[in-house]
Amino acid sequence: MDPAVRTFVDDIDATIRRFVRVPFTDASTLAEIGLDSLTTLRVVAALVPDGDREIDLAELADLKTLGQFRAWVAGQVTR
Amino acid sequence: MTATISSTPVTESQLGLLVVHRSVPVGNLYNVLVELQLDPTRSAAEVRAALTAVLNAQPALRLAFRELPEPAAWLREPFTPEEAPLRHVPVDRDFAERTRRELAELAAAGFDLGEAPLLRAVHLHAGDESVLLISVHHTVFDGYSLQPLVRDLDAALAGDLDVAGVRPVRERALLRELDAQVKAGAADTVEEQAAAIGARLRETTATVLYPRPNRPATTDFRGARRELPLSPERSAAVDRAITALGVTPFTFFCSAYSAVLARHSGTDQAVFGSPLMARRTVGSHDLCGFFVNTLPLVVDVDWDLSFAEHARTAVDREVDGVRRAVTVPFSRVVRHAAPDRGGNRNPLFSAMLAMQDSTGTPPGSAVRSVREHGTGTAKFDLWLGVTPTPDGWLLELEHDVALLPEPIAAAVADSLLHALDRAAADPSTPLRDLFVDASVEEAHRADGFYREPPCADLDGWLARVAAGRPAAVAVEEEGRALTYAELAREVAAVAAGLRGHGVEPGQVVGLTTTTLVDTVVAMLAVLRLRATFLPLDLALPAERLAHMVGKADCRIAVGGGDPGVPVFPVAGLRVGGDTAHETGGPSEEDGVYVMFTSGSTGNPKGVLMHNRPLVNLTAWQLAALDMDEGTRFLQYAPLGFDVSFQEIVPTLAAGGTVVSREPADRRDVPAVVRRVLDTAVTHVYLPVAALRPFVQAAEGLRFEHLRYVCVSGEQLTVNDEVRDFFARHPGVRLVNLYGPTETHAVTTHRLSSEDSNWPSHVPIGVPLTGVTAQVVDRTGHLAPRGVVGELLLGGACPARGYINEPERTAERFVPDPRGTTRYRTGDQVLWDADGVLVFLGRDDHQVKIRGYRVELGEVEVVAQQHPGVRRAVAVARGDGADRHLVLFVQADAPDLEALRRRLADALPPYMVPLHAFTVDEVPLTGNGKVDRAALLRQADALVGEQRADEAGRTTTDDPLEAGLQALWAELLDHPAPPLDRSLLEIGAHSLNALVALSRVEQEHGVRVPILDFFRDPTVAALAALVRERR
Repeated sequence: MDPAVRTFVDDIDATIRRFVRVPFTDASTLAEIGLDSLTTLRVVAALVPDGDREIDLAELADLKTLGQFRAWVAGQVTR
Repeated sequence: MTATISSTPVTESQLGLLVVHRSVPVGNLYNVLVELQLDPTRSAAEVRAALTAVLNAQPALRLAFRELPEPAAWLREPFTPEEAPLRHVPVDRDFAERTRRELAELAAAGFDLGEAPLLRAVHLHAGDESVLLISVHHTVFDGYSLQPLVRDLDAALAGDLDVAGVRPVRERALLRELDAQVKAGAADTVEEQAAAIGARLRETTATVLYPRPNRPATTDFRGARRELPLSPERSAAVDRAITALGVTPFTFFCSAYSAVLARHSGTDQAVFGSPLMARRTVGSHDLCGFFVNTLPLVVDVDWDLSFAEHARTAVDREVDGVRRAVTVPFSRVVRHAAPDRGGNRNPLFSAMLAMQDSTGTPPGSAVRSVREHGTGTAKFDLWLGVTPTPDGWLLELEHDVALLPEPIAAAVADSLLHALDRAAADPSTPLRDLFVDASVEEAHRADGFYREPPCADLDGWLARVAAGRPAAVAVEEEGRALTYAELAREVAAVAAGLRGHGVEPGQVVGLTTTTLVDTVVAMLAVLRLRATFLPLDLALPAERLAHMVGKADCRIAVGGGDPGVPVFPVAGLRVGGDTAHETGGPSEEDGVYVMFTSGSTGNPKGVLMHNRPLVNLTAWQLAALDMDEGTRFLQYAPLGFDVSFQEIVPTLAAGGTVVSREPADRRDVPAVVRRVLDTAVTHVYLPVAALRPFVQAAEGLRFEHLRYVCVSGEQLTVNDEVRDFFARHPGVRLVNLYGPTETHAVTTHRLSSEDSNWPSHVPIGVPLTGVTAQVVDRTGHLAPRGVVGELLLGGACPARGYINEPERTAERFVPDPRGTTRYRTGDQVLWDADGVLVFLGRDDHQVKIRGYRVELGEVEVVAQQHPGVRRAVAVARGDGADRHLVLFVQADAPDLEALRRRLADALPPYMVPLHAFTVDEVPLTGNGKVDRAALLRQADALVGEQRADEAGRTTTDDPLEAGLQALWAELLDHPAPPLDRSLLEIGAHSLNALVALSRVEQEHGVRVPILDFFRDPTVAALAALVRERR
């Protein structure tokens, strides 16, 4: 894996861990690990350095698993 | 110092709040009230400096708004510490009490949205306590703003808030976010989503908690909030269930809340709003501000579904839907769903669920704890806030105290806590079993009136009374009086005669007697034989009489005419002798009468009523109506109505006198009134419909002897005429009795001049002694106060059943798990806030207008209270969104315009008939009921004519009207707005009305309240409002 991408993934996981206190895998659903929509936004806000970046909130409704969320966040960060 | 930006766009959500702020006469309704406990070592000066820093670092807290030339917000320059809206209050004792007082003061003070800052703070400081109270207007502060505020305050107290550095960044971020909001709101998809949500809401029944007649359409927004903190154990159970179900806390709480709302609104659906965080830019997460869209959730409630399935299907689907529609501003949905902003209530939903942000603060923070408070107001009928706190889930229920009085709110809170506990304990619980029975004691509470009967059967009772008062008059007709001794002799002789014709105990004997004396003698003679009498009205169609006689297995009758069985006149039955020894011992199970009542399936059913309920009723009535030897009860009711029993038998049990109505014709109310006066009657029992004619005919007369006016038969509504009669007769009591033929009278509501509250829709009251009234709601449980359910009557009252109809009997007379038998009335009732039963009707006079349930009777009552209106009948016409009410009135010198204004003043807009017409006669069906179908046909024709008329009337010579017409033409892009038809029909709504009224204010110097405009949103009415205020 590209080291830069790897750093991102680590960042994402570290940030998620600040909000989620239970063990999780990519298959975990956001609901079962207690990641509600407010928290997902906080994770994104904490990771994206550009304050002007706009998030399409409706997209969040499609994210059901942590894997999907992780991929989506990576997209937001590296866009 | 100069601000980097001076004005900002206004989002639709903010604009919506501006409209509400202007239209609601409660300036503090949208105050957000926060209590922050601070590190007590910080000095007052430090706190002031910190708050100033926060205000300067948070641009939204320096915003103010204006409405003209178009709505906009502008940014105030930064504050100096002296300018900061903060008051320090050193406290030397009673810190908590002082805090409460300051909170109340802050809560009550409204904001002028044109003046920044829209925030006020009070700092209370004692030796070891320091509290900062903040009141801030919602237009600049949503629930999510709390964390940025606390973070900034903490940093400022620590000296770490770089105001100079963050100010330009934050101001830019605010502008960027507002731009993003405005841009997102303008997308085509948003309009499509809003239209779809609107269309769905129009098809949906609004959730109305504690539905009842005369429910206020507007309120003064006074509210009360109760905190329901879940203990750590209960919170942990909820968390476990949330995890096990794999749903979010929002879905979990929505699932329980929707079931509670459905139960307490008496429906299988719940509509409620929820504020959704709508921040779009990453930078906005550091900002205070109002970036919320409130969207409706429509949740179907299938009571048989498990909580888990409910959460995973109906609720999850809905939550998913609102998350996808998060960009849709509330006001846009309103425009599509309900352009008429009815009353001063939220037009889309009356209940709310708000998931609040967590209130925890990091360790070491100078802000020790965060707590939000209610402001003594209520924006919704019911609001549920759910907050994750460090100690567990905090639930807060806020309710409008006028719409949901305290006992009702308490019942809702009970339901909610039960539902949450059960759902948490076992998510496989069916929704109906999330709830429990409300207090059985309440259902079995009676009015306590009772005079101990001397024996268990009526014949024995009446015989004893007769023996004790031989010379007193028992029955009185014009020109004829029968003493108790004579009555006893007659009864014995006729009973012997009937016995001679083979009448046995249990047999049914028809009565076609025509005089009161003959009737009473025949009735009591039948009872002497332990037989059952069947009143037969010879005016009934022969076919119907034949059905009655056949069904009741009646083979003999007393009286005259041709009832289809051998009939003997009273005079011909007199035989000497005593029959008592031949019939054996009486039993309370012996039948007394059979009365036929209409059946929905076409054929009438004969109710077989026996001694036990009637002895109980008589024992109650003697006490409840103060009956004694001086009682003179008018016999008014036809014998075929069970009311006649109450006029005759209890009077004879009291040793009083039954007075014949005749020679007055039953329909000639003035003659009946004269008869009441002439014969010194003490008790009158009228059908509800005769009450108003009675008091009208009694105008100017004084009733020295009258003590009780009883009414029954249908929903009693009283107006000022009725109230005046009783005010003029302080010694006379009005008793509203309720009871189907199957149970006889079972509940009463008593009114007299001493009662200050004479509701126009009179309750049916409380059960009489020995009767149980159970209200069974949709969940199958005993309903708490305020919850609609079917009334089931038990205890002493149920009849034996329908004679010779075991199947129909088994259908309606059902076992009572808590007693013996209950009769299912099919009547919808509720216990009101005071624990009194209110009849809500049956489904057949209930219509839906734009999703609202409307009892036509309520509209009719208001119309009938209008001077000159003799009768009013409402019908519902049209389909879907076009469905509306049409009112027909029978009136003397009708002023329909004044009537329309009165209706608009008294009723929520959806209940105000769109058209009102006068009729000479209300058409009736064959069986005497209002022929609504015929009225609907008339409505179609009349509305068509009216439309044709209006088409030619869109111009005016009045310069004011012409000016207003031009203004609306511009705003609505309409060539010629009508003068006296609703502007709502051509696209006016609250937002463009706000602009219109601002322009009116500019041009004419008068401020027209938006609610006044919406009461009658026409050009002509607006012109009148302007003229009035000039």
